[in-house]
This record gives sequence, structure tokens and C-alpha cells, in this order.
Amino acid sequence: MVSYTIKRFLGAWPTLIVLITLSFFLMRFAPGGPFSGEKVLSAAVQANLDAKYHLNDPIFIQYLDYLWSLARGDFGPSFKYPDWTVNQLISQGFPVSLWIGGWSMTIALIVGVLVGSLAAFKQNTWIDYVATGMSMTGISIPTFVTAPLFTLLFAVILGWLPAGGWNEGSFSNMVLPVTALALPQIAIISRIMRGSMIEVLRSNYIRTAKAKGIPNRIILFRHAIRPAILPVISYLGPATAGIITGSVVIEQIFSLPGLGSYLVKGALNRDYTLVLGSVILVGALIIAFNFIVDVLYALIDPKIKY
Amino acid sequence: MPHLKRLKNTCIIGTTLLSLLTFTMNTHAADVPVGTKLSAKQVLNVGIGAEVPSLDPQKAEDNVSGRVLFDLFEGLLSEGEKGEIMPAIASKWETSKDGLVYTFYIRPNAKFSDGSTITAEDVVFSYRRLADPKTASTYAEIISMIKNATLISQGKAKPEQMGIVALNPSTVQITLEKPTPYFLKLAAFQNLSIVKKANVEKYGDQFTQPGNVVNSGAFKLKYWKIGDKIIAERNPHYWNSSKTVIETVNYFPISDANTELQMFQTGQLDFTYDIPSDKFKDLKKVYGKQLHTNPYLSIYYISLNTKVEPFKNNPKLAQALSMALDRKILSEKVTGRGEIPSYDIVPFGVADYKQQSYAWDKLSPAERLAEAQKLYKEAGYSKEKPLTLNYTYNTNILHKKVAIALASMWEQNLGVKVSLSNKEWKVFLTDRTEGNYVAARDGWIADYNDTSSFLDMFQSKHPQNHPKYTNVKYDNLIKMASLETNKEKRSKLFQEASFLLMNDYPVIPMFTYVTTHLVKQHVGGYSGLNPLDHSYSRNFYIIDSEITASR
Repeated sequence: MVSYTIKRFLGAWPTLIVLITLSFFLMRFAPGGPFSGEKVLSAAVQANLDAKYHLNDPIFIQYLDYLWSLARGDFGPSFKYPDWTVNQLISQGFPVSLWIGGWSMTIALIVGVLVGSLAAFKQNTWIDYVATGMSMTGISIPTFVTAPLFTLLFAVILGWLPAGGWNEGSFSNMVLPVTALALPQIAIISRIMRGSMIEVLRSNYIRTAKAKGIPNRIILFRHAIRPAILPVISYLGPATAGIITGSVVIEQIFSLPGLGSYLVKGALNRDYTLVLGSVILVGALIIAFNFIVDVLYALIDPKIKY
Repeated sequence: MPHLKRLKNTCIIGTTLLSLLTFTMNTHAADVPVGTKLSAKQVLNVGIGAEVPSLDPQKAEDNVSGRVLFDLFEGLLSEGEKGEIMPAIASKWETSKDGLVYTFYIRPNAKFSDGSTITAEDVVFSYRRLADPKTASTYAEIISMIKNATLISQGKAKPEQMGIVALNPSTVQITLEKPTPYFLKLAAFQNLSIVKKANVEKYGDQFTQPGNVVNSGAFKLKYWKIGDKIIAERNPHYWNSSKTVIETVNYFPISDANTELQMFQTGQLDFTYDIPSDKFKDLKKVYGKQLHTNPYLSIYYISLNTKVEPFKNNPKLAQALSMALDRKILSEKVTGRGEIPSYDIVPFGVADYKQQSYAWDKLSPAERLAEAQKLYKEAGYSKEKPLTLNYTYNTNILHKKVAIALASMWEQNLGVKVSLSNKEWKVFLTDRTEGNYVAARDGWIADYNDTSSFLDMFQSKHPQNHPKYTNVKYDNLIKMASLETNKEKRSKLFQEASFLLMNDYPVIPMFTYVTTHLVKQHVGGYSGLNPLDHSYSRNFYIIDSEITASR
């Protein structure tokens, strides 16, 4: 188990380095620079900016400098937000994304597993039909539709919750984005869980347990959930990384200062260091979650060999 | 006639004293009408449209930063409600006869938010910092008229060589290289706000962080988190703090206009940055006087690349295209927020300038169309041999609507085959600057209220000259205007230059923009009369809601 974990851990690094290298050069070769705007800069001003941010060095030297900075944990200064370093921006944005994404995923996991299990257990009954119908609806309707609808209903018409903003992370500002973000995940997880649970419930050992007269709740919670949840766990890794870092639409609609919005703003502004910092963090998270899932999978499923 | 000369001198002295008295008596403060009941909670919630890139006065380059900076920092001078120049950190000033030397007197009670006195040394430091290459300000050139400032920004002279000196702790003298009639307007501009020397030297690039920053304006920074909000509180050390009514300002960077509208509807915002462009008429019906629309010192125009075919040496074609556009329909039906149709590159409302128009503007639509078609033929095109034209614009709903409308007008009126190219912002900018286009969407918002803000950019070697327009006569007129101290003569030179530009057709002006804000009825002190849309929270106050309801 230890050697498997170490092997998986070491295997993750080359991916990250390739990601950094590709992102660095792709950003630099994109048309337009961080300082191009409606006001065209004179040669002297452009030269001052290039000198300050070392953009006048050969690109390979810039790349090596960047790697050296990264090795020291320094993501560099932001080009668009000169009052901040990328480390400061990420340390502000990441907790927002983590908080929103974390809550969404937790809610999605609990509700999705319960609804999926229940639907499987009550297969072909009205409970199953309702659950299946709702999850299909959840998957079909994108968040850019549900989020404004929620805002219209709960903020504008009913006036229960704020329409947007982070407001220093107040609870009321989080309800709508978390719900909007959690809904499609609930739908997906319940679908995965239902399918997986049906398969498990049809297995011989469950039939034996039923024949022995073991109560349904014990069959469900003690014997069926553990094997049935494996596909959910393998989905959970990349999904969690994605939901934490990629809730761009939700962050835009609710004007939340998360990592997703930095990534979009950074790319549009050609804020090289901010994009690289965000990409590296997103990449590292995806790699880390996949790594965690692999380890968890190995722990839960005795069939996995390491 | 010595008695006449004496009388004239007396009049001049009297007028000067009177104007000085007026300057010193004017206050920058909320002008609360008698009988207004103020709310106990003086909190103003403002939408600022986007995230503030920088709160460093010398580095900020956009109007979003400006909205907050005008509250947090102040320059030697400031603006009144209508954009008029008013004393601020400097209580008075003198200008030498040749218009080259300005002497500013700092008011004795001018203090930073930490209670320390604002000194002439801080002013000198702030001005030098703007030109210093180490600061790498994108606006370094805005003070190019100050002696040696250009050389400093080019790294050819030291900041200490700038034409600005502290004569004593409360007097600053600035020497210009050439007379600049709008220099006082610049002294009120955001980039020339005063920062505390010791504070900047202590914290460097991080001096604007909450906890580090020391402010010179009516408000001080309390909280700033990118994407969340900025909170500013009344600065008790501000020289006119006793007249500031608002206690707290919350600035929300909401980039989505629909979210901003919903936040206004739910009471989270008192003042929006903008409104969703397609909802103007509905919102006007619902909100009536709460929806403010005012002309903005800005122009929407089309740049025609004069260095490539078909516009190379072909002003007749450009004129035909300009004549074939119905600006009235465009501003009424396409943009529809009260934009003002324009034929001059200098927009409506610029100080000391009369907006120009063409003689053909007076023609009836049919006559104008006939003339446009005639010119189109003379330029070498016809229905049988139509012009094929590519029009480039950046991704934006308004630009898209305008592009479709003008393509349709050109096609319908002249038979031009127009293809539209929609480009991502930075790609668009690169292409337009490098001249990789035929016809492109363009626009400009004034930094300061002066004609030069618009006409300077069409000089042959100006980096903003997107159409690559070259006309020695035009360059000379702009140069003469820049040296002219007589207001009327200067205005005439500018009008002559603009008319020349208009008739060479490197650009097709379309309309003067407007600003649109939703402002709650309980917000007092907003008139919308500042042509640059500068808002100062120190002028605002929150009216008691009960009184508001009864109004």
C-alpha cells in the first residue's frame, strides 16, 4: 500500500511540470499583452513596464525565472492588479471557491447518495420515478438557467436572500450559489448511485442476506452502500476539483470572488502570472484529488492490487 | 488714458480677489437642502461595474479605480458637482503671466488619514512618482507638459530634475515646458492625487493594502478583497470632514449588469454602475426619475485604415459611407439610451468647444442618399461593382448591434457587401493598433475635459492614431492650439483642426455616449452633471426613508 501510494505520488509530478510549461508558453504566445488596452501605450511607457515585469528578457529566461520563483513558492506579481501578488490573490480567491465548492459537494454527496439508494431500493415505484425524473431534470437544466431563476424567485420576488455578492462570506450570500452548484451534482450522483446500488442489490450476497431475514436498513447501510458507493467515489475526485475551481458560471452570476473568476479574468486580461498561478492550482488539485481517490479506492475495494 | 488703465487693473484685481474668494468659500461637501431629514445610517452602497485593478493613484488607469480613488485620495485640486475645478489640498494657487509657472498653497489643515500634515514634499513625491520609470505607470505621459517629465519617464533624466519644487512645507511650485490651459484640470485628475511619501517608501507596492495605506481623501480604506467589495469609512482627519455626511461607502465590483440590477431591486445597491443595455425602456417605465441618463465625454466612432485599400487616398468613399449612415436611427433604435448623434470626433459637452457638423447634415434623407450614391460611384464602386468591406469589432452586445445596423445601412443604401469580424478583446486591440484591419469599431472617453483629449490622438505620430491618419496641416494646427493661451483662439484652432479631420474622413464619428445609473430615491446629492461621470461620495447623503416615502 505504501509503495503504491509513493508510486502514484511521484507519478503526479511530471504531469504538473508539463502543465506549467504548456500553460507558460501558450499564454506568452497568445495575441495581445497584459498592458494592451483602449489607451495605446507609448514606446517609453511600454519599455518601463516590460523592464519592471522582466518581459524584456528572452522568453526562455523568463520561463526559467518563473520556475525558480515557483520553487520558492512565489507565483509572482499580478500584471492586472499591480497592488497584489498572485499569492495574495490566490489566498483570497481559493478559500471562496473551496467554501462554495466544498459545501456544494458535501450536500450533493449526502443528498445524492440517499436519493440514489432510495430510488434503487424502491425500484419501479413512484419514489423511483420521482427521483429519476428529478435527477434527469437536474442534469438537463444548466446552472446558468437555474441560478438566475433562483435569484429571481428567492431574491427579487420573495426577498429572502441577497441577489449576489460575497459580502465577506456571510451565510445568506452563500445559500443560492451553493444550492445552484449542488443541484446538478445531486442529480449526477443520485443517477450513479441508483445504477450502482441496483447492481449491488441484485448480487448473490444481498439475496442471501435477504433470505436470512436481515432487515432492509441493515442490508442497505451495512452491506450495500459500501460497494455501491465506489463509482461515486471515482466520480467524486475530478468532480470535486472541478466544482471547486471551475464554478466560473456561478461565480459570474453571483459575483463571487473565487478562483474560477480569476482564471477567466486572468485569461482575458493576459495576466500571465495570475493565469499560471490559477492553472497550477487547478492542475494540482485535480492531480491531488485523483491521487486521493486512487488511494481511497484501494482502501475500500479489496480487489485493487498494489 | 492712465485712469482707464487703473480702472482695468482694479477690475482685474477685483475679479481675481472675487474668484479667489469664491474658490475658498466653495466647499466640497454634501449640500443638504434645508429641512431634509437625514437617515441615522449613512451607508452608501455603490456598484462599480468591475474589480478595481489598483488603488494606487499613480498606477490606476481606469474609471472604475477612479470611482474609489476620488473618495480615498485627493489632489491639489478637485472637481465640483458639474466638473468645475475647485481647491482641494491646495486652498489657492497662482499662475505666472506666461502660463508656465503654477504656485499652489497647501491648506494648513490638510491632513492624511493618520493625522499627519500633508506637506509640499508629499506633493513633489507624488508627482515625481508618476513619471518615475520605476513606478511604470501607464499614465506617466499625462504630465508630459511638466518640465523634464517626459525625459524622466524615458529614463533620460532623474525624477529630482522634474519641474516641481517645494518652496516651503506648504508651497509647491510647478514649472511647465509649455503653457497648458487644462493643467489645472489635471491637478484634479486621479493620477495626480497625493500619497504620503513615508507610507509609500515603507510599504512599496503593498502600500495600498488595508492596514498599510494612509489616505488623503474624504474617506479611508477599511477593507478590500478582490472580487468581494471595498469598504471605505469617513476620514476624520480630512480637511473638510465636518461637512462629509456619508460614514461608510461599500463599493461592489459587479461586472454583470443583470446581477447589479437585481442587487438594486433587492436593496443591496443604492447606486448602480450601469444597467442592462437591452432593458433601458422597461427600466425607465418602472424606475422613472431613479434612472439617470446623462451625456458622457466620450465618442463612438469607426476607424478607417487610411494605409490600405479601399480607403487609401479615397476620402470620397469614406464620405459616402459616412453619409449613408443614419445616426439618428442608430441612437434612437439601436442603442436607444439617449446617445447623441455626432459628426465631430469631439463629443457633445466638451468645455470651450462648439461641436462641428457637415453641411450635408442639413440635407433631406433623400438628398443625402443621392449624394452618397454619387460619391460612391465617383470612388469607383457601383451596384455592378460593389465594395466588399470587412468591419471588425470586439465581443460586446452593443458593438454587435451597432455593427449589424451599420452593415445593413451600407448594404441597403449603397449596396456595399459587408462582412463582420467579431474578435476577442486583446486580439482586437492588437489588430487595431497594428493596422491589421480595414474598418474597425473605435471609441474614446476623455481623461479630462479638454478638446485636446480627443484631437491629440489623430496627430501623425500619436500611438492612438488607429486610422494611421497623416496630415501635416492637422499636426500643425494641433501644435499651435497646444501652445495657444488665449481660450477663444485655441478653441478656433481646435475647431479648424477637427473640421479638417472630418473632411479627410479617416474616422466616422457616430454618437456621444451617455451614462446610465439607477440611483435610489434616498440618495441625495447626485445630479449627474459631471460630464466625466466622476462621483464623489463626500457630496452624497442618505435621506431618511420615511421622508423619502412621502415625497
